[in-house]
Amino acid sequence: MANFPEPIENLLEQFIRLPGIGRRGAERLVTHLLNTDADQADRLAGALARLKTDIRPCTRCGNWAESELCRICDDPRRDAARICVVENPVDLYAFESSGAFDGVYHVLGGTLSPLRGITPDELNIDGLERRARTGDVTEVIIATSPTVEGDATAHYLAQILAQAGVEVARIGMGLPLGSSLGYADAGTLKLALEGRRKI
Amino acid sequence: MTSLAQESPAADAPPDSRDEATSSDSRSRVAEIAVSHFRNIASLRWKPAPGLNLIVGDNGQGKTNLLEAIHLSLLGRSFRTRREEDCIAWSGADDSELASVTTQIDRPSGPRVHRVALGRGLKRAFIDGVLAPRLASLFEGAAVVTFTPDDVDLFRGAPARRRRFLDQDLCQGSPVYLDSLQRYHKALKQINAVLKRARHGSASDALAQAEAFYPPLAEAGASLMLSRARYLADMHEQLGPTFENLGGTATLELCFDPSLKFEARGAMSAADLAASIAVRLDEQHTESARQGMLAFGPHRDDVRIRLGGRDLSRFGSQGQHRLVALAVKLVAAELLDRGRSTAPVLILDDFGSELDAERRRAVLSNLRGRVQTFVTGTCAEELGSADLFDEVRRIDSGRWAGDPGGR
Repeated sequence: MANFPEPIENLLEQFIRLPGIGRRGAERLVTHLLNTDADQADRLAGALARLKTDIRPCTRCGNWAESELCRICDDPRRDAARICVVENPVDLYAFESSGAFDGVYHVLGGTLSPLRGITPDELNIDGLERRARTGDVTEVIIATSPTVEGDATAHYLAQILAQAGVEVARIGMGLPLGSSLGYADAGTLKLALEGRRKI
Repeated sequence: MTSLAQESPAADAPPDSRDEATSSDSRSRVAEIAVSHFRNIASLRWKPAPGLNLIVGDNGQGKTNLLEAIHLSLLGRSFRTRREEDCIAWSGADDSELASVTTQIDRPSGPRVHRVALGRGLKRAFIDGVLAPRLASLFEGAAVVTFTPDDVDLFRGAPARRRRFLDQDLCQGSPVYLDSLQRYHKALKQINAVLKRARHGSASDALAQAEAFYPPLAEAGASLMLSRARYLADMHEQLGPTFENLGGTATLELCFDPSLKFEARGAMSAADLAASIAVRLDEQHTESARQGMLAFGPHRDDVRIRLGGRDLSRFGSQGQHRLVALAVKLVAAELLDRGRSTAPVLILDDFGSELDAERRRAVLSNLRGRVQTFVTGTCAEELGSADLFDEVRRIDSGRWAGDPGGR
């Protein structure tokens, strides 16, 4: 099989390592970059370089941060007594864009999965325990996904946090707002029924 | 579709009166099937009768292959093999050619077309021409109960066979059951992964990880056990009369043998049962750790059956086992028919051998006027007489006999 010139092959190889990109997709990206002006390639290279030098995990919560603390942990207006535990920063930003939560977060970096070798040591659990024991925290809300792994992680955290003397809650599960009941899947409807409350 | 109909009673007659008007035609059924490059069937089309269909042919001509194709298109998998790639008739010259089965299902709520295509390491399902997000989506529009010659061993083989039978029927009857079953097995795998590793000498904090999966396992397990108990109680009620109709002479009793004894009747809720399961999991924790796998749970449930007061797993002739398995499958079809808007299709592969002529006829006359049924045999006369069937077709080398075009 004929190869492209070395610089192109090199870039193709880098693109293919990214999730969701195959050989075809990589070729399309490289063609596009070759056909645009040099500025755009420079901007891309610069953005890529800054990603790893300028972003680091927040030392308190594990969120993406530009300095020691992320913007949320650094914000004095946030209610530091309530911590919402999420799997990853993307979930955190989903909560943030809702504007519904004014506490702070803790990013685990995944869920427990012995099958894939993800043990508590792989997750940011020690950090959470330390935060919970400082005495400033009153409530921890566990917002892992409603998967088997997410639920197991929630139970694991609840066990650990029970000794820290904080209130632990699991986020509610149920129906999406504004959509018709007829479109909900059976599992969601079951959860919604189980999670019913008096009015 | 259904909910719309219920919201506007004026638009439609109530379901009951509609049933009366058109009798069995209001049931869902396979209206047409097209098979291509599936095992020995190169190309075949068929519009089966709504009632009792018989496919005859000599050995190895493709009778079971056709049943398998129907099953594949309705539920997305074969009842014969896990290696579905084997079903593809590679045409040699053109390897890209896929096996595919297309079925039009006529239902009271409107027609629906299933297409399942197989390729090298690939399986795709389409519903009304749109790629289905997952195979289980097919379950929403179709249901099947299958009897194969292997089912003679249903009540004397390993318990796993009986659980598979329960799971297949219950998954078709309820999406919540399917959901619980998937969650249960996911949790079970995670727990066993920890226990297996812990057995090879890692510390007790590893076991805390297994325990973290106990609550989701208990919750899903409780839902499975309650559904199984209810289903088997319903089945037990109908099994006696059905068995008698088929020419069975002794009393037949069926009961659930759950891994955890509980009172299925009354106010036992899923939450209470989940709590009991969780307690038991904790009690068994040391034993599980020793074995390197979960020692207790619904994955150890079983079904017991007694014929004339004796445990059928330990005695019974080949014919008795066959008749009991047939009775169970007929009741399963009946329960599925009762439980949901989509009536099941009944597939009986070679049910008649080892049965005497009288019982064969009893089975067939029991099938009349029920759900759409597909039966195979070497000839109609062997099964009774041709006039018991609504449609008889002969298959020969993967084609309809006397029909060179395959139509």
